[in-house]
Amino acid sequence: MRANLVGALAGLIVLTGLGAAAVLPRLAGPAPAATGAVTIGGPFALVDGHGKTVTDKDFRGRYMLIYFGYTHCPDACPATLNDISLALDKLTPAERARVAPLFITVDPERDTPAMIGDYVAAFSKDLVGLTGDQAAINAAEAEYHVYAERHLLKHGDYAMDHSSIMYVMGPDGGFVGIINDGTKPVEIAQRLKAFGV
Amino acid sequence: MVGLRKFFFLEKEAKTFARLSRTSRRQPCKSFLVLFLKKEVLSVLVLGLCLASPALAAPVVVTSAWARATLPHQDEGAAYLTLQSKSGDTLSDVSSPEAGMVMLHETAQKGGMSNMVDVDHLYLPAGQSVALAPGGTHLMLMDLKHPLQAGDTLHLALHFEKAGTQNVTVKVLGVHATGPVP
Repeated sequence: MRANLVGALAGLIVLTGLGAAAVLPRLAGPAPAATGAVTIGGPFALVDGHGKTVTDKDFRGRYMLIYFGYTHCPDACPATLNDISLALDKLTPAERARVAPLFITVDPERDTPAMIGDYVAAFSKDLVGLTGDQAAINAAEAEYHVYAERHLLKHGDYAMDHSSIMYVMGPDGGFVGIINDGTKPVEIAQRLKAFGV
Repeated sequence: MVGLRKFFFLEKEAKTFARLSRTSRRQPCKSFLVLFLKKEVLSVLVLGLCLASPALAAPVVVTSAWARATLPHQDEGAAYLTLQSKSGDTLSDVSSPEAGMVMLHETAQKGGMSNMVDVDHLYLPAGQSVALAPGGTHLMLMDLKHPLQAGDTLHLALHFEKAGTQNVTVKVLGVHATGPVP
């Protein structure tokens, strides 16, 4: 009985240690201002469709509407980017000016700046497509807790399995809320207004 | 009497033939068989043609077919359609002269995740409408020979296990389309 208790206690200590080890590196990094241990979002330095470096700070004062995807995505990404562009059309010009819609690739190997720039421009002139080197993309994915993994297709090409969520970040860069993909454009617009856009 | 025995014998043979045949729709062939027997003109060739012809199987009704215009730098795209088979069927393969390969995929969107899943066979329950639509099951067009622009026409050959091959023309709609306007 005592041995069991000691074992359980030791296990608890080990687990607590592991938990702290998993959390601490994230906190030790350039974490955004937040009080809780779990944060969504953070600083990024990526490259836009013109090859220009873009950071999260460039969007201070506006709401960022962020969606992660990739250009070779045949179905989910065009559907969501289309929904975003149709939602933007439902905002007043003043509201629209306060929203920065961003599309961040989870497939930087294939998505060059020119490719992602032309891709998002097909949906909306306001959309900003962002890519970068693998390390910069990995950092952005980690901050937003985005899952992205290659999935080999039958003929040797690959698709990306990825988190498919729209993140809304406030004018100070802090997390405001999420909008699920599949949400109708009119509802996306309503949610943005409700978030204070 | 001899004629009748001959009839049963031949019908039995025809049934065996039909079982061996890949397209196993017998009903329309049977009436032809009876017609030919009555006239005592039985041509195995005609019977063979009759059994092999997929046009005699209940065709799958294809509606709302459309493809999204391809996006810049992409040689892949997606097409969508709605299928209905009166007697039940299975879509086993799709090809297109405009694409190197057409794959049947499902975008499984659950819990904020988007995963592409290969679908080998799409079962069409009898009488039920099966819709391929954005964010769900779609035909992924790989290695397109040229970009698809709004207003273009795409050709698809749908291979069904029972109904055989059906050719459909698909309208290409702009990137902002969410489906064909009825």
